[in-house]
Amino acid sequence: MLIFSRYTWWVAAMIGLAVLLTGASQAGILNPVQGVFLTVTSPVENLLSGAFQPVASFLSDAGDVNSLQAENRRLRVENEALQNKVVGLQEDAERVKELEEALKITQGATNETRLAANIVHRDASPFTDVVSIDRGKGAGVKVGMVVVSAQGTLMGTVTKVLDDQAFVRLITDTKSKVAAQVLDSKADGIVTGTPNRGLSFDLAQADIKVGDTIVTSALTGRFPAGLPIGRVTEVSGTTQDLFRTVKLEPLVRISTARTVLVLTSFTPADAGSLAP
Amino acid sequence: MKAVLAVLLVVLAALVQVTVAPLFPLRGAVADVGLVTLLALAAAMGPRVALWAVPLFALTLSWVTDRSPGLLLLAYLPLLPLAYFLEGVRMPLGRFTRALAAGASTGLWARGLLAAGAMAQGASFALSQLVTTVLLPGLVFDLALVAGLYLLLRLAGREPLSLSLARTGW
Repeated sequence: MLIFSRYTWWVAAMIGLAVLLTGASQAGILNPVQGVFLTVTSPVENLLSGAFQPVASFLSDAGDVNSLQAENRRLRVENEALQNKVVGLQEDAERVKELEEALKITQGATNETRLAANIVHRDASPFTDVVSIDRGKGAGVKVGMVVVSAQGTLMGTVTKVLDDQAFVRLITDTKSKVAAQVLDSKADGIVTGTPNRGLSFDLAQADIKVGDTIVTSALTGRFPAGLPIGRVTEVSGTTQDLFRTVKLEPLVRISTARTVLVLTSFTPADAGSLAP
Repeated sequence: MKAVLAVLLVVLAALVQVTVAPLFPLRGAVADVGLVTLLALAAAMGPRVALWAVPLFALTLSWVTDRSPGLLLLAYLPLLPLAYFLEGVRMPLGRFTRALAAGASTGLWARGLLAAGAMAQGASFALSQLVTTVLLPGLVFDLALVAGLYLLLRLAGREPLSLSLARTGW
């Protein structure tokens, strides 16, 4: 019988060990060992990721041929419209420059600094989407710093920092909540992660339609305003509903991204509350 | 030599869990490489190896995912006692079916416990989402991986070892 077996003692010992390990982990006693372990194993992780990433990308693309073709058609149209817009903006920029020179106005240089980092691990256990990056305290990374994709789309925030590594909670994690707004109407809401690693946008009684772009809002002080998050793909409910269900598609392929940028110049208002 | 091989396999399983498994998700679930590795160690090297491999895997996985090592240890804790219990139950079931049951049950427990842990930290989701996006796809993964493991053992001409600690002289 199991109850009289040696497994009973083993289970009891393991429960005790679980309590001890939890305490040690929360006190940060294991952090130095964790840092060494991550450094030592990083070449193996790079090897594994490098070997399987192309296979995953191929399978993902092969399964989405129809949607990729539709996306391609949409992007071609969008590209043409954007190119036309760029021409107009270049003309405007030149005109603004001329006016600034005429009025003797000097524009202050932006002091935003971004630190490039590679994604090393990805924790995809239930309702969790956390990645680790190969930059830590030594590179100036701090808890609460905002992480974006190489193209500038919001990806997440730093939740824990070791000497040479840091952990980033992605916006698709169900614990993630980002103050956001609709780019055109400026309606405020909150972007949250969904259980299947998607995004939803909660907003109260406002006009929103498929195709709208959602960007970060500076309301909570945790994110700089205007970082792109995603595009609305589905809206259910009417404008009379108190809360409508809005699904978003991230502007970046979060699941296969390998390089990210940490906004080291942005200091969030309440970084302490992000610590696990 | 056996211990060194087991340590290497456990560490490799933790690394594969966070580098390769997330690349091939099924809805909200990914393959539990650790679960099948622990079951493989128990079946191929005996329960004594698996007894210390379970906490080692939990600790290693906690380092690469920044999750609580205690919670991860509790997640994989039922695997060996459950497999041992099923081994002794008098039912017309083969070893393969019993291993499938132990693996699938522990997988459900582990995913449920980790989801509860996420909920305690502020994640909000409905029970139906837990079942449809995590538990059921996870069950498919677990059954497929355990079946694959037993197929490999058979192809290698090996019979899974008994999980009784007494019979191994402990």
